Order: sequence, then C-alpha cells, then structure tokens
Amino acid sequence: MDELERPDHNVLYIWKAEVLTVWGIWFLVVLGCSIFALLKLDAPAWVVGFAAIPVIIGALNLFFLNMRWNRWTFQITPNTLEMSHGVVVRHRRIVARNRIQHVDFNSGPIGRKFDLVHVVVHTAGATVGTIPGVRTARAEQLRTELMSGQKSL
Amino acid sequence: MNRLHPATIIVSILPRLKEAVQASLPVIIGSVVAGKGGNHDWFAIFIGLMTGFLAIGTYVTTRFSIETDHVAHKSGWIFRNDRRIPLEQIQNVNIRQNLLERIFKVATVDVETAMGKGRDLKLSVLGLAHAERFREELLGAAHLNLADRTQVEEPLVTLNQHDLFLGAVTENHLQQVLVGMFTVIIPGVGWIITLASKQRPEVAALMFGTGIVVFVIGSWLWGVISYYLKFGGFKVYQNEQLFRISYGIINRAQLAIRPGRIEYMNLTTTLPQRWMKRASLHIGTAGSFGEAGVLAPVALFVDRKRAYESVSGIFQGLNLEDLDWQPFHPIFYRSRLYRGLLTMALSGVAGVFLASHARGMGPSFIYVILFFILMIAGARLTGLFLSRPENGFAITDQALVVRRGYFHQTISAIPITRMENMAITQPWWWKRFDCSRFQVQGMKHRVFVGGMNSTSIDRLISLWHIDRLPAPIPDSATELVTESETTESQEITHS
Repeated sequence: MDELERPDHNVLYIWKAEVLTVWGIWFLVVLGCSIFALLKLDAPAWVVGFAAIPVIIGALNLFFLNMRWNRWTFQITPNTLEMSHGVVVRHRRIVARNRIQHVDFNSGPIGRKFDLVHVVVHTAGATVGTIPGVRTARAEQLRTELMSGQKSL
Repeated sequence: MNRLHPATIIVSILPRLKEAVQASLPVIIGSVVAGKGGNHDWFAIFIGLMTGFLAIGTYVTTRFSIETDHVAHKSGWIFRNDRRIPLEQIQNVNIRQNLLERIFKVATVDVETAMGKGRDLKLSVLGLAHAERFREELLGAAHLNLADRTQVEEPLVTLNQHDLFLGAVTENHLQQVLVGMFTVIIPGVGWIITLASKQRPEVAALMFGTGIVVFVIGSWLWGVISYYLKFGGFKVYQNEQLFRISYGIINRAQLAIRPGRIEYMNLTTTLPQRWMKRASLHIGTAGSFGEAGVLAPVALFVDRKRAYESVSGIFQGLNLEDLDWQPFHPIFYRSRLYRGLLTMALSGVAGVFLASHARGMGPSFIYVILFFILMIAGARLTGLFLSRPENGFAITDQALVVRRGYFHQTISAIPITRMENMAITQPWWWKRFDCSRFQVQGMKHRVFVGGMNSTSIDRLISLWHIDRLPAPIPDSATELVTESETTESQEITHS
C-alpha cells in the first residue's frame, strides 16, 4: 500500500494491438470513402490523401507507447485509490475507497496470453477508472484491498 | 401481495399502442413502398389485439408488496421477473399522473435507487390514495394518517399565478429555440428560400429578418407555455424531514425526497431574474426522478435571499452570501476563446467548401445552417466573457460551490461528505501556469471548475475527510420527529 505502481510492461503488447486495430480500421474506412468519392462522385485525386491521416495518428501513437506506459501510475493509500496517466494531457483520478462498490476484471486474448487483466473500479454512481495490464495475482490483491473496509451508500 | 389498479388495462393501452406502431413502422412503410399498400385492416386488428392482450397480462401478472426490509415485485407470464429492492437503498419515490391517469384518479409510482439509471421499479398504475400510502410506507412515514395530514399541512413553498407567469417569461428557453430551429426552420428553409428568391433583394432580406424574429418569438412562447404547463400548481411540503414536491397541470409529478440523500444543489437565475432579484433552486439525489428529470425543483422564482436561506437549510451551515469566491484561472478563458474561434473557423471553411460544391438549393441551405452555428458559437463566447467577473469557485468546510454563466447563471454545490471521486486534468501547456481542470463527482451529479490552481486542489483534498462517512439515515420516524424539533425549519412563503 502507498507505493507508486505501474501496469506490467507486457501491457505494451495489448496497447500495440489496440492501436493497430483501431487506426487500421479507420484507415480502411477513410480509404474506402475516398475511393468511392473518386470513382462515383468525380472527386479530385488528392482526396485519397485523407487516408494518410489515420496512418499518421496511428504511427504517432505507436511512437509514444513507451512514454505512455511510463506515465501510467496508480497508488493505494489508506483512504483513496489514485490513478494518473496521459502524455500530452495529464489525467489524475482520486477515488474514495469507502465509495468503491465493486471491482471487475476484463481481459482479452492478448492479455490472457501474458496473464494480464484490466481492473475496472466502480462506485455506486459510475465506473471511475480502469487500471490496465495488471498481473492476475496482483489484481486479486488489489480487489481484496479495495473491497475491504466499511462502505457508504 | 398487492395488485395493480384495474384501470391499468385502459391506461397502459395507449403507450403500448404507440410502441407497437413505432415498432411496426418499417413493415408498414416497406409494404407501401413495395406497392402493397392496400388493405391494412388485418394488421391494425393484430396490433390492437396484441396491445390489449399485453395490457391485460400486465394487470393480471403483476404483484408487489412491502416486506420488513425490502419491496418485492413480480411480473411476467412466460418470462418472469422477480425483483427485490432493499428499503434502505431507495433514494426517491415519485408519483406521476398523465391526463388519462388523472381522469381515472390513478397514478404511476417510480421507485429509484442509486444504482439504477432512472427508475428501478415502476408500478403503473395504482389508485391515487394507494399510491400515496405506498410511497409513505416505503419512505418510513406511514404512521401519519393521510387524511389528517392533508388537513393541517401547510405548503412550505407555493408558486402563485403571478410568479408562475413571470417565471415562465423570464426563464431560459434557449433549448426550445434550438429544437424549433431543427424541427421547423431547417426542414422549411427550402420553401423560405424559394419564396424569397422571387422577391427583390430588399424585400427578401426583410422577409428573412421577419422570419427569424417570428421564429425566435414563437419558440420563446412555446417555452413559456411548456414552463407553465410543467410547473403549474407547484407546491413543496416538508414533513418529518421529508420533502414532498408536486407540480404539473397536465402531467402531474409528485416527488418524495429524503433530505439526507440530497447530494447536489443548483441555484439558477437568468439575467432578467437577476434584475428582479429572483432565483430558482433545484436539488439532486443519487437517483434521478424518472420522467420528471434529473433534478427536483424545491423553489421556483423565489426571492434570492430566501433561496440562499433554503440552501443553508438543506446544506447545514453553507451561506452563499458569505463565501470567499476565487475566480477561474485566466488560462481557462483563453483556451475557451481559442476553441470557440477554431470551431467557427473550421465550420466556416467546411461550410464554404461544401456550398461551393453543392447544387440547386444546397448552397442556400448550407449557408443558413452555417449562420446558426456561427450565431450560437458567438453567443457562447460572448456569454463566457460577460460572465468572467462573476465566475468562480469557493471551498468551504461543508461543500465545493461553483458559480458560472451570464445569461443563465448557475450556482452549483456538492457537499464534501458526498464527494465520491475527483478528476484533475492538466494539458502540458497549462503546467507552467499551475492550473488544472477540476471535476468532483457525487453518486450522480458533478461539479466542474474550469481552472483551479494546485493550492486550492490540495486544500479541497485535505478537507475531503474520506474516513468520515456521511451521517446514517435514522431508521425510525420517531428519530426524524426529534430531529425536526431541534432543527430550525426554513420557511419560504409567498403572499
């Protein structure tokens, strides 16, 4: 408790897959629309260049992946759970532990290969945050720590 | 276990019929388009029979009861639902009546907890007296005799016709104007442009200007009438420390709120209302109020001083007249200005580009939409800078209070004991100004501060005594009576 922790380093594989999937799909969509515009709507040839935008954004995301991991931290204090992340825009979330109602685990195929889960924290009002790429054993400990203690309505 | 009122069969037919027609619209449209739009009698009979069957089924299969510590609800024939809601988790119990329900003297009861999104339990319909008794039993005030109470009880707040009219006229009806813009102006813009293009330019300009004025006044009038119908008959009772609020001329809403569950306050006043020194007060709990909205009104168009006193009564010790207001950081206004100008520039460029490639009525249509977008963006920026002198936040031992807005000013507050989590966002170019965007959230409601420095954030975190739980809600009505005897009641009366 009270130590500053980071997600497991293998979370970078999950993030890489997410970036490639999301921006790959956007690339195909934009390319398809621009080709349609070129062939059916007599659009100028340069509209196909719009397909480069998702490629550039995806490449930037991949380039800054390590920095993104480096900036992702979480900390459990006696009264709070604090999560910080973000490269260009820094996000910090502080959650009162006595307001946490339940803690879920999510995992995809890549996460399961590396024994990693995303820890999703819920209060009565909302889902307040997700800690990505936590080892299953540590995630179970986290859940026990966060769910212990008196809860308020 | 209890059953619903037999009028359920009749009252629930209309909404079910509406849902059935909406669901079958694709079939109807498809058959018409395919050229088979001949005899639809069989289809109408089928929908009618199914609707009636479902309405009867709802009445026959629904059962409910209040047990020692929970309320039980069972419904369904083929797919059965058995729900139990612990009494301590109930946030609000609301009673609604539409026109048909008022004719039959029945009402719909909505029960809400903090976890649900909207109502967790809906009983449609019960007899009106039964609905009120059910609500009192759920909220633990059932020892009161209903008939006695209505004879001796005086409302804490009422809204007379004069104030109702003034409140309606001076309220912010921008939403109605925007809705009218999208439902009337944009579909009709082609006809307007065709008509205007046949006139001389000065006549066309006069027609266009007159049309805009008529449209804005018409939308405003529609907003006034909606306000009148929504809040007519507004009354607030405070009994056993339970707020009971009722309002509505055609669709009547009756809300019952435990003051201990209030987690948010919103005091609003428009520019004309500020000149008249009037304000309206709404509160929020962890539940919402179903179709009545997310916030419940507890004072409408009251004297501002009285509204402030009401706030002190609801959030003990919070005095809005004696707060140490701190302004939002200037970087917040700069970022909003850049964002607004960028939006206007991109919209302008996109609009001109699309208009230059459009044919027929397209360019005129696009320029009209562009005009409205630029007008709204410009109005928002103007309001932002006009409100700058008064925008600010205050941190007290009881709550975080935020004041913002010019044409429609709001003062929002969340008690410190009701805060669930805080979100602090800082773009890297704000770091050298030691400024962050700050948001604090209760169970359902949130308060946002545009630009707060780290000293204020740290002070708020230190005041956030997270190991101190909110005071438990008393279990017995006797305790509630004792507390109400020792607490000064806040009276807001209109002559």
